[in-house]
Amino acid sequence: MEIDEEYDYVIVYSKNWENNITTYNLLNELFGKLLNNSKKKFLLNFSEVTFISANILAILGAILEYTLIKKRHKVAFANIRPNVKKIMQKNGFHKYFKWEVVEDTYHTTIEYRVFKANTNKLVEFEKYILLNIFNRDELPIMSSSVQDRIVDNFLEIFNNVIDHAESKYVYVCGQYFYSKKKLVFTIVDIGKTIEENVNEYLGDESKKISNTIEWAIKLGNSTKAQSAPGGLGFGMILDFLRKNKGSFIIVSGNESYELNNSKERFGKLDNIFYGTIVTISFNLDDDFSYILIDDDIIEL
Amino acid sequence: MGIVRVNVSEVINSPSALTREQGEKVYNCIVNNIKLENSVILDFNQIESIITPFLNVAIGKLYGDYPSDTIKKYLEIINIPNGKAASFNIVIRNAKSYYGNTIGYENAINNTFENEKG
Repeated sequence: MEIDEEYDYVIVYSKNWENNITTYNLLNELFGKLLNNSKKKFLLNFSEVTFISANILAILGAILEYTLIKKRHKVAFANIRPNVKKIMQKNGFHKYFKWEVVEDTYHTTIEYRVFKANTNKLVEFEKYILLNIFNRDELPIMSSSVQDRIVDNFLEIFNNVIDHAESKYVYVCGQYFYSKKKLVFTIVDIGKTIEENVNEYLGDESKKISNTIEWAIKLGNSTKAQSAPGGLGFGMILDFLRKNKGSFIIVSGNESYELNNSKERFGKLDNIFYGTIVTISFNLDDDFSYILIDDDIIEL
Repeated sequence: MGIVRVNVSEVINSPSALTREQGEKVYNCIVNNIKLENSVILDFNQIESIITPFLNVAIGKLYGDYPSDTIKKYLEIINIPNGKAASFNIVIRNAKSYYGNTIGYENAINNTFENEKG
């Protein structure tokens, strides 16, 4: 961090924004800095950044929208490389800069969108997911029931923001990476963290839990379970990604969970995210076809 | 005592059964009829989307009020959208486990996907 005459803070990013915990931690640091100050001028200098994984723009968008109004900051971006700028012009993030739109000829972007977090938007969100993710030929072959189940899980994640995070908005963005054979998608909310929800629900019992994400992603556990049984959480998506050798990241507060190539890791971050980030990465280099062992009858 | 047909899409006024609030409406409808000893035919005709926050309340919550045998006696579910029966079963197993009846949660989700080499 440097202090400049024109700006109160100049933050120089010296590494690419790859899709990993290190980058998320860096963004959490920015979040903290913006939240803990008010009416300041920030310059974010991207001179050393040659690549930004576009899904991360959902996190950046959420942080900036939340803090700029609340804290009345001014934030400027400097030295954005043309290739990075072009991605923003293709996926809709350019709206913050009033740049002109660039047509996404090869359909590699997944639109940056901000949804109001209410149940009326669930259907719109479902259409967005179907159009931007499941309409793509690059995804592994899966039966319609597998697709339905994964879409259901996306809708549950959206619904969790309404039920648990009490967030006003849901921020989403993604990217199709042709050479890496990946489709990455991020959903972000600013609101109550998983840890806050679990602590509130379990009270003193929560002290026995070292990572509340571990508790929350377990099937049947829900902080809304007082009135009815809990949801499926991330169960279906995680189950699919394990078989697909995809990856998954959750960051909430200073806790994290990563699934990568079927290996799981729970961790702690140095900096806090005041909400929850969920990143889903489908492996497109997958020759398997997925079908569902479905039930024909309901056993009451 | 009688048989009452409950059309879910009419109760929630939508083809999408997604939220806990919608689930509550259907749950209330079922419980009110069971209290009157009416059998309920729960009809999912015209429902296009169902997710588990809805099912956990509409169906799962019943297991907190009644034993499984009573639910079997009074409730029939028809016109389930293609590929959605498994979601119902997961929610029901989960609810039975949550309310202390049977089966562990973990079994509910295991072996859901099967993959074949393309």
